[in-house]
Amino acid sequence: MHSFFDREKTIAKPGFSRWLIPPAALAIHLSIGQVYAFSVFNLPLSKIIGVTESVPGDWKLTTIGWIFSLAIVFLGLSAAVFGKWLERVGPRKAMFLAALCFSGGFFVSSLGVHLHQIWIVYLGYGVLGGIGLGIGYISPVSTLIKWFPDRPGMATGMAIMGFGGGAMIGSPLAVALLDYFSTPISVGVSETFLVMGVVYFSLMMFGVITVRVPPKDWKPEGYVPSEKPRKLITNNHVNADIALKTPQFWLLWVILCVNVTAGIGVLGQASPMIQEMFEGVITAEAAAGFVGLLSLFNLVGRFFWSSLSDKIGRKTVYAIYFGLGLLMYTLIPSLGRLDTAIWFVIGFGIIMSMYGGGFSTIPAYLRDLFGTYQVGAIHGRLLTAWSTAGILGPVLVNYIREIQINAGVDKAEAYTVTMYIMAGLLLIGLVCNYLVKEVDPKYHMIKKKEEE
Amino acid sequence: MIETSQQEVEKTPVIKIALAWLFVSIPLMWGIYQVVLKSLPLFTGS
Repeated sequence: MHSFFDREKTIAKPGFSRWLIPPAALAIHLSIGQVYAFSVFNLPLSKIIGVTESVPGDWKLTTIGWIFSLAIVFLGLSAAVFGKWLERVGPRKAMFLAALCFSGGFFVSSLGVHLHQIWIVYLGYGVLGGIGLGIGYISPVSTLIKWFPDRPGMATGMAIMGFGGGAMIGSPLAVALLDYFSTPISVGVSETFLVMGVVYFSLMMFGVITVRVPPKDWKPEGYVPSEKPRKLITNNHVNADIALKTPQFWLLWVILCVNVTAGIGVLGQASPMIQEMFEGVITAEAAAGFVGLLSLFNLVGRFFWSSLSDKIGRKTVYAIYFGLGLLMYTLIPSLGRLDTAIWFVIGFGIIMSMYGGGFSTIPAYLRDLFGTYQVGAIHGRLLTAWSTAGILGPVLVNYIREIQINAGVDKAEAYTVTMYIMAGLLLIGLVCNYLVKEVDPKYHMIKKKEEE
Repeated sequence: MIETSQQEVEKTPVIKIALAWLFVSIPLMWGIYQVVLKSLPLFTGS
């Protein structure tokens, strides 16, 4: 039983098609992407006792909000902590642990809801589920980079696109299950968690069974690595611990953090923003449609921009994210003053596509700079930037908006300053991206060995 | 894939690749369809 999960058992035999790896990766990311649909449970969780309405003793929305926050924090922490372990034991064992933790999080939370103990839900979905998220996020990414040395951007784009798609599946699935299990005496959350745990465990196990690692020195047919050193793409490798000592790692950390902060910040405000900027034109239902459309842009951007980076380079793509993003964030207030919402929607769509692209292009950027040896571990450590942005983004946007409104600024106009601050963040990203240079050869593993 | 003489070759059948893609594409397409349905009011104005 144990041997099935060992790295040696997952080494592909000659003739194995690498095109089986993206579906394996997608199975994991489509499952764990459910986390972005967790807000579907917020309202039902606030009515566990009252069922039709919140009553004294029911959990408050602020209390429930910590479940998601904990999950995102533990995503970053576990990705950082388990990255090196993943490289050692291989993707199958790591993906299996991710499946156990993520589905286990649902089971424990189901018990927590049944007993109406919030700390059990925190421990379940927040901590256990969060650990599953972190390990699950980095396992297939690192494997795909090794299988697709010729197109690492496209490969990681496919997997991380799955994470965006996970919310699209998770939300209607949860709504359908809640409808099915709700009764006059229960909101049906406990039962829904149980079923979702089983469904996601099954889907993730498909990935566990299908995943393989390439044999040592394997290359795709017809692929000849460039003899001439290409700018910013190394044929050497950097150890994960050493990578932390390089300025490149921290520049990419800031790049990811500001890109995600700007994206998360406005994503949470998208619905009220369009309604307040186009008062009387955009209804609440149309605004919900706008948010749905943004998630589609986010999904497509993850694949499109990351694939494009294989052609034009990671540094150029990030320069586009920050340059074009800066322009878009600056233009949004003006677009909000037009009679039609169409340009506003297109502008926001482009911003969201680049937000998604920022997530999916970063592993290939890391691979270019640090090689493939411990890219999963380095990626895991970089994801702490995501956790930081997950807290920074909403806090920054809400805080700025509150100050503006308290100062007597019109609600629709209060977004203007927010947009300019987000543009300022992207300017920081643009500068950091400009500063990214090749990693000093003294950090390369081969060079180090030669010196020894 | 570069072949090594000692190891047995196990060529992956195309049908297996197609089924694997289908397995993950169905839920993804269902999710996208749900989002498109949700987005329609933005264009119909209802």
